[in-house]
Amino acid sequence: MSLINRLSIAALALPGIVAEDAHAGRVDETFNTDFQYAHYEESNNRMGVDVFNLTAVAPIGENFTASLDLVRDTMSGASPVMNVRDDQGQVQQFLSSASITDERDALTASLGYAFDEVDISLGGGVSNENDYFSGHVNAGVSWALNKKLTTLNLTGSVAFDEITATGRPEINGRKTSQKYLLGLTQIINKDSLIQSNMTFAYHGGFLSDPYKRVYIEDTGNQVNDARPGNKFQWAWLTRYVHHFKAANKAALHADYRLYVDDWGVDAHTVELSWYQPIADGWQIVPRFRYYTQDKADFYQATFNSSNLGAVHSSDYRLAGFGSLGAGIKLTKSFLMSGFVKEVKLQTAFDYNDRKASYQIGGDSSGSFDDFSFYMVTASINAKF
Amino acid sequence: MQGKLRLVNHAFHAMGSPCHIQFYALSRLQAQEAKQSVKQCLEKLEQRYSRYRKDSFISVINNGSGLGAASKIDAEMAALLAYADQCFQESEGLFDVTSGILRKLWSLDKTEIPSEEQINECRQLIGWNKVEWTQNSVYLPQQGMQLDFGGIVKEYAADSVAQLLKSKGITSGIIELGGDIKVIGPRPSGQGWPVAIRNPLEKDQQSLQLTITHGAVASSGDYERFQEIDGVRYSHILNPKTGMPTTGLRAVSILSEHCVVAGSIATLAMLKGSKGFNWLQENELDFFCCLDGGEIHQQMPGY
Repeated sequence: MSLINRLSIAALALPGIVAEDAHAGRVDETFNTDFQYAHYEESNNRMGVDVFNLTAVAPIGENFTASLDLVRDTMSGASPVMNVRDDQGQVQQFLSSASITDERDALTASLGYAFDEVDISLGGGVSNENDYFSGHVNAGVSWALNKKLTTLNLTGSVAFDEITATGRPEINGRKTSQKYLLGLTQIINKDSLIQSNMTFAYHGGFLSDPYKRVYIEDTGNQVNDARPGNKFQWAWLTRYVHHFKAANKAALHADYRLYVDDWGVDAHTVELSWYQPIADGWQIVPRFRYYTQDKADFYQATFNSSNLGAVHSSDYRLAGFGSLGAGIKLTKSFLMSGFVKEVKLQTAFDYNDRKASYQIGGDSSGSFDDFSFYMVTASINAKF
Repeated sequence: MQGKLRLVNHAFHAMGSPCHIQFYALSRLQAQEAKQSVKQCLEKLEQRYSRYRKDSFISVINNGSGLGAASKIDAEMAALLAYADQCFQESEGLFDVTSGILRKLWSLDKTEIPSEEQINECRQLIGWNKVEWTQNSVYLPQQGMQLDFGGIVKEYAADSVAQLLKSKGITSGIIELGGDIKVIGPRPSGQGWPVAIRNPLEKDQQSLQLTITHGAVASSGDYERFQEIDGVRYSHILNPKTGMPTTGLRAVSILSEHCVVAGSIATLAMLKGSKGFNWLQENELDFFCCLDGGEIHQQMPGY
């Protein structure tokens, strides 16, 4: 780091230089509302989802911040139920015959309190759909250290879920999940920062998918999806952000995420985004994403009675595959001087292509499962 | 929302120096409020950091030297001490905020060079390493020790005023506090502000004309403040290690994002003496400097 960068970092701790640091408490003093609509659509007339999301964040007094988040998802279309092998030995995928429609409503609320260098938050929420009820509580603490150049984050959450399969009430169960996040954000200099988040999760209870079946080739029978009664997940995300002043204050976000669980799934994600301000409040963000995972130990496209085992699944999400994605986001901000301080409009399009052959170290055997999906989103955000 | 912009031109005296601010305001009311808040901001900084005021925060700390009890400090003072510490570390002890005490030996009314004995006595009271400080308190362990934020506070004030005006919705303007300059933002046309660097040898001539859209320029040197003893010109920048005025450089100006950074680097270069010019080049700084012999060097972007 150059002399000027070292001194500039020390200078940034001076309260007069950065206005936001002039007093303790929240940085953001405005009411914030966000309404977003998204449409997700898979190829081959598979699943489609419409998402409506409303978020509101409000400061209360000097130190409290309250937030509320409402979501309604409407899912429709068909999803894969089972794979069978045809006369030629090729795997054929069976989709749910009737078009399914389901709705999910979720509500999350949280309350935060800002001290000088420590922010704490408490929250909880419920999510409900026909066959699923879920409740969760969470708590978090964020601690700014080292003249606010370093931020430590620690959050924990517990969720309780109840599942009853629609039309098959004999398939039901409960699930509890615990999730913990340990995160570190370090400002390297005035142009760059690095963020590293580690997530640990433990799930116990009914973890199978009540709508998935597996096919036993030698007998021609099918049985329910059956997964282990617990799962430990570990993920490590590292993000590097660099600002390029010369390119009109553009920013590069580069992410790498490693995921490992004790079902045998390992996954790697690389994502690159370029935030390019243009002029007059316009910003364009192209992004690129690559994902690869290998299959769960108990996954097979189809089984034989000799290798069925106590746990088995043919769920495409537990298969080995890779996916390539690209997207573009466009935002326009309007700064205003009246009651409403800023309005931001945003629209994005993302396309993903999932292929067995994109998996690193894979054998392309799951190519019967290849599909693509896109997502369009539009949102309006207002600060007042 | 954008009405007719008016240029506000405001000259005044603060922090012991002539000051001049120019900015574009949307209304007469905004201009008045902005001028008022600048005045309050500078008064507050002077009230806290002026060593000429007996009741200033810094004087209270200095008066408590050697008395056995640390003074409580707030976040701004703690950040200034941390900044001073960074400057001390970067300069291997040349930039030392406890060295202001030397000024009593070299004040402008002195007509003879202080004796070695006087200098050594004074140097006993210098040493940032001796200062006991935390985020919440500071203590000068020897009676007579002093903190002096010369080379930091006026520049920090320029940054603070710029930030203050920005927070009032002013996006175009320039602040000058006793020769130290901070740009709020370019002129409404998008053009930069003209900034002249004076010729250190010829008082009324300029050596370099810059046009600046953002950032800061701060200078250090004996443009006006120097003394002549027996026909020899002595700089007002004093080296804490020798107790003597610096030699080698006549003046240094630095271009940087923050005025406080530009100011401390300019002072540091002066303290480096004859090595200052090389040091400026090695650190790839944007600079203007004049050597003792009158030779001028510059490395400014676009010039």
